Amino acid sequence: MFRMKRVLKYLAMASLACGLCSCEVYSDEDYIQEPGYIVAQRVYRVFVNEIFQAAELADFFQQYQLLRGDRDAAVRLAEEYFRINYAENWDERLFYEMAEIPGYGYVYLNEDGTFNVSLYGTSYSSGFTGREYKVSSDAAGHFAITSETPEDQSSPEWSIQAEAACGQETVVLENSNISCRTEEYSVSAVSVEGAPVQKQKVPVSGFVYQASAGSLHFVYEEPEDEFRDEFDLGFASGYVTVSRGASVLKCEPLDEVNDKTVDYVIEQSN
Amino acid sequence: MLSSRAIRKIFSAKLVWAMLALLPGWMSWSMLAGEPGKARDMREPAEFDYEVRLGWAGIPLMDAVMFYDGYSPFAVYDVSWYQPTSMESIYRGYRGPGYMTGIISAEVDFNFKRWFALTLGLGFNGMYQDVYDTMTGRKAGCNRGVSVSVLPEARFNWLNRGMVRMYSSVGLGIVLGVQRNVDYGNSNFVLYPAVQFTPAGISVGRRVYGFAECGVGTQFTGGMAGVGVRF
Repeated sequence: MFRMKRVLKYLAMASLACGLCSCEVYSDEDYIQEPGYIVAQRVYRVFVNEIFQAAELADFFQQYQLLRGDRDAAVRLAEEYFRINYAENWDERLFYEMAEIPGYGYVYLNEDGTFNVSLYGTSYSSGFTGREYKVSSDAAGHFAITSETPEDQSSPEWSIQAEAACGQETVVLENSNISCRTEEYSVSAVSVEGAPVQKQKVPVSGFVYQASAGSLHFVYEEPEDEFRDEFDLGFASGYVTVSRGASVLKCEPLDEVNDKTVDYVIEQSN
Repeated sequence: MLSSRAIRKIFSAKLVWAMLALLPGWMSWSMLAGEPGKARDMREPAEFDYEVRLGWAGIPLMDAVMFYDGYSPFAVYDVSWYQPTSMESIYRGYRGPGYMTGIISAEVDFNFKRWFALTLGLGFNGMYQDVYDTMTGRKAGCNRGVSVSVLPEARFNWLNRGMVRMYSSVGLGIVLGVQRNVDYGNSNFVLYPAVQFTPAGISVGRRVYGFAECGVGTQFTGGMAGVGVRF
């Protein structure tokens, strides 16, 4: 009987414990939320990253035009510029008026000397498909990049105007104005004066996804709900910042593949 | 996928471990403590024809899974899983801690033999979870859910000695529920099978008794305890 009482006592304690535990067993933790970061990483992937890629394709193609008659030199340039060290059949990729760069996309030479750039990476999941960039150049390494919604398309819409300068080591977005709109929302990302966005060039560092300096000012709106949000996205080496006035969040670097939706804040100030 | 973090969290509640740790000792005690000479034949008719039991169970596992993600039975509630599917969903509220009442059950037992009973159980579980505005951090609403389970079970008394019964049971039923998500502005109706297995349970008392059991299944996982009346 004594043993039985003891077992029942343990049983009662276990039952009480299980009851109490069930009350909050699923509680999760508090995270600092910054929707601006999530908006920014999507806009960066779909638009900003592609502007950089278009600039680099144009930069390569401009240099290529100067030596396109010399096939050995042309192939060497392509391999060095894009750091492609595997055997590619360049004869089927490098033409006088067109080039296809593995991992990037196509660049075409127009009769007026401008380029058209069509990238592989245009995000189909975003809905902003079918984009083609028109690139004109007023000096070596300096490009004006634009892309507009095709006339036969009503939604989603986009408008991209950017000026990019490709130096020896970096691509600099001297100014950029990106806007996109669907029926539910619109987002714009505009250069911040005095803080041009810049990224390491492919020939220097290989493919680098995130810019390492500069800022973009974002405006997000949902017209139906009269909702509006504004913030600045700052780029740095190894992280980004999301600023709202004096409040600055230091966040994880942007990722080419995976959106971070939680635990992305490294440090919060103010 | 059930994240390792969620699994850790569930098991860190200690109730599963506590029940599992108790089980071997409990079963061996029950086998050895009896007095065979006084035991009545298990094939005899049951002393009482009916029982009514009220109980409270620990973790309604499937409710937890379905409440916190809304649609996938294999995803978990945890915000680390949460992936805004569209741009505008980014600005929807974020979810705070979620709470549940646990399974509150009522059942009627039909005792056919001293070793066998059929039971019909009705379980209730309530859930709620505050939702916060992503921009201000202030409370913006509350997700709520309720589920009702109907669970017929077969119960096997493998020890039935006067004051003490020990048993195992297995049941198959359904769970119906509705969950209202203010952050998505929708309501989900849920329907899933209630598959429940009780490896070991004990009841102590004659006409009025208390019981405790450990169970594994979609209705609840962990312990259940309560009181009952035989008549």
